[in-house]
Amino acid sequence: MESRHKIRKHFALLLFLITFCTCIVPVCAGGLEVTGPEYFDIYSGKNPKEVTFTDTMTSDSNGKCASVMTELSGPGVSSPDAHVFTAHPGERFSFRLASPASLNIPFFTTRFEEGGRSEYFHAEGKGIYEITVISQYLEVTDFGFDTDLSDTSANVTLSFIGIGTKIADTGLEKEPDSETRNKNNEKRDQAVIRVTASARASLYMLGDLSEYTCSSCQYEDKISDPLADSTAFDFVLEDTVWTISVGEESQDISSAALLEYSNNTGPAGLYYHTPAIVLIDSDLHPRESLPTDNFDYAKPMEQQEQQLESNSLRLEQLANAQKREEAAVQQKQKPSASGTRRTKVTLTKGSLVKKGPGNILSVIGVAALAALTAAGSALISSASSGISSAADSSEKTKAYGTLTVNDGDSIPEILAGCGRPVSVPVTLETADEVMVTWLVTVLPDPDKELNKRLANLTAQCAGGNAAARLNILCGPVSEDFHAELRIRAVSAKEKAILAEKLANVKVRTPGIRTKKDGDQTKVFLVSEGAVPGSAEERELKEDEYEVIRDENGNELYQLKSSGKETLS
Amino acid sequence: MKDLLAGYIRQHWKPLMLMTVIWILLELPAVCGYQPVFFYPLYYLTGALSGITGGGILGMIFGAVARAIIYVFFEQMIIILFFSKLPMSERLASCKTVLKDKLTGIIPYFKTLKDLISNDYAVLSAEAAGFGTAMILSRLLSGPGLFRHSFVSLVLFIQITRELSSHSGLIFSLTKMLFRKLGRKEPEKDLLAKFLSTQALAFAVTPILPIRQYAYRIGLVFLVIAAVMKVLSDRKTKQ
Repeated sequence: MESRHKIRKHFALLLFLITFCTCIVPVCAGGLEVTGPEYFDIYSGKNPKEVTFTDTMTSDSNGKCASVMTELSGPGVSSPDAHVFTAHPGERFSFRLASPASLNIPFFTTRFEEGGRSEYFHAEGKGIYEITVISQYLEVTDFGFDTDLSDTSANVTLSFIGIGTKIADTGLEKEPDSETRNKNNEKRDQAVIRVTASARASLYMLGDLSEYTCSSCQYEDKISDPLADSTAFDFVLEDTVWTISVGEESQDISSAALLEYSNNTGPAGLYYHTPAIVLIDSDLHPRESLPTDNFDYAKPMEQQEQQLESNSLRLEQLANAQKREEAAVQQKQKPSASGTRRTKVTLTKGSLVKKGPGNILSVIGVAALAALTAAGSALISSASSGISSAADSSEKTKAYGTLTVNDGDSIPEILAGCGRPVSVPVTLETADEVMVTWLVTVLPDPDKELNKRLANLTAQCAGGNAAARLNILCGPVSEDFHAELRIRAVSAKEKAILAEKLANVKVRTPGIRTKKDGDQTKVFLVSEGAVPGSAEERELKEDEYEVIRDENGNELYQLKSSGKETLS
Repeated sequence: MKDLLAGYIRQHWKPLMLMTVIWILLELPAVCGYQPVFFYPLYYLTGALSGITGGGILGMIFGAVARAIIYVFFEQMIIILFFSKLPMSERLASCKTVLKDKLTGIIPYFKTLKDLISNDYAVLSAEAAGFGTAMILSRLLSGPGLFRHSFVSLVLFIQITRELSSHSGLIFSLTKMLFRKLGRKEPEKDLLAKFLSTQALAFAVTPILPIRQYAYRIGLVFLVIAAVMKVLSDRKTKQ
């Protein structure tokens, strides 16, 4: 019988271990797609050799949003309107990222939104321009990597198109006042800021990924876990060439900075930063086919037109300027259509949910995890029922009135062994007059030692109806301790609880205490206080106690009058 | 404890199995890439996908813990609904009573919220520690921080408020033991209750905060504040 019991016990344990390990294995395998690609852990130093890039974010609630990639070309790209491409070592791609209303490309320390506020640009050595950016786009050419993602590079041209004017040649130190601004507004014309650079791409810290994604989507709908299935690149621009054009006037400059006025009286602050553009592998949601472009490119034009109307500029002027800009983009050859094999780049391993068909490992993983959860549930539930069986939960409770103990103040500390109870008032406020019975319980504690001390504590209520006295008395104990009392007002007729309160009391043993304060030893006496039965601690003066040494050399403190001792 | 566990499994293996089957039925399609929107309420109420959509091994373990907590919350109702021989109307009425009983602690808890305001360093330390730990736990238990995995936080809020009203229960006892292990020989007046009160508050608000993806960092900040308050409290005591 006993051996059968042992076998059962060992079998249960073995089963549990197998279950646990089984659910860990698929996790450690780093993915469950047998037919799919490999997973790489970039942070451990491995970089994939084949990466799929896409620009489309898919929101669970809003659907696809913000397809911003156009003019895509490169090996394996089926159409310039495609939004996904797979790059292998040595391959180069070109594309353009527009900026519809819902996607912002960060520039310097601020983001330009369509129809946004004016910004001041300091073109070094050439002047200060006030420009309202209406649209922006990024042209990326020669994007790709030679060995792996660690050496990704591209040539980029970042263009900001809007309206603006030159407001100062040099030396403007104050933000223009309203009169100056009105004059400047009359001179506004089409403005373009362009920066061309070679760029190296480095992995972007994904903590701020939400800045670069669809602002109309909720965070949780966009990316369930930024570290799970996406990566982003920070394009660091080098060898930048800047151009600021307003109307027909164009300036080539070595750099431009976003100018921020701290206040109207002090000097302006200049910020020089490298623009960061993020390209996201956002293949987070299941797709049956390549995404289609559902973005209405006419929309930003309409918004631009509204902006122009409000600024009294001709629609045709800006539209023509935009067309001129777009016509300047080089047309690449369209490659033949072909399928692509995707490699998902994961930054952390360990997820059972994958895109694509499941397999036997995933089924086992799920079953094992469910079994693990069931075991955990049994453990928690049995522990919980064991503890709550000690609690009294079978009575009816009505939140009928308000119970106040000691007029809302804390109960004085109880002096153990003094023979006199501490008495405090308890009151019950109710809307109606009811016959009340008062019950006081000293709540037990799981600690056995404390329970022994609690056995010396008695508490009872004397009196009836809405007001009573709570009397607490403690016999001699060896140590100070805390206790919890449950005070209940119970309806005499229905035996229902009208109100209940938990009160904490501290019980002190009488005698001398010492406390070290740096090099000094402070001596305190715990004795009966002003309230009968209560404990009071006061510091003793040097002439009130004496120090003696026992045969072991320990210091003993005692009152000069009573001879009570304590060891130091 | 072993006897308790063995006895429990002998008596309650049926509802446990039922819940396990429900989890498996919800998880398998998800693993195969199929997460229909109409399953979302079930994902929320069962925590089925907690920890299996990312987060590594730690995420999986905490996801399992979250599901276990949710099961314990619903256990009595599952037994009444599926394994009781009463007529359906009575089963539903009993479930309603059980649910109502679980929620009894909430209103009294909100009435005591103003007591959290204190200028005592020890109290503030306990409160900050409670809030910080609960924020971190809430994030850990809800997998990658999705709202649809966050029902466990609501369950913990309900359970803690209930235990605060009676100063008993599993969470209360475990926290009391933890306080003892951390050197407080007996839980001092109000500190334990304050700790759990702010924990309850954090469990209630973390899933609905718009910045919940930063729950770890915010929780750590609160823990740092708790440590600072503790130091100030100890200094004041020495003075």
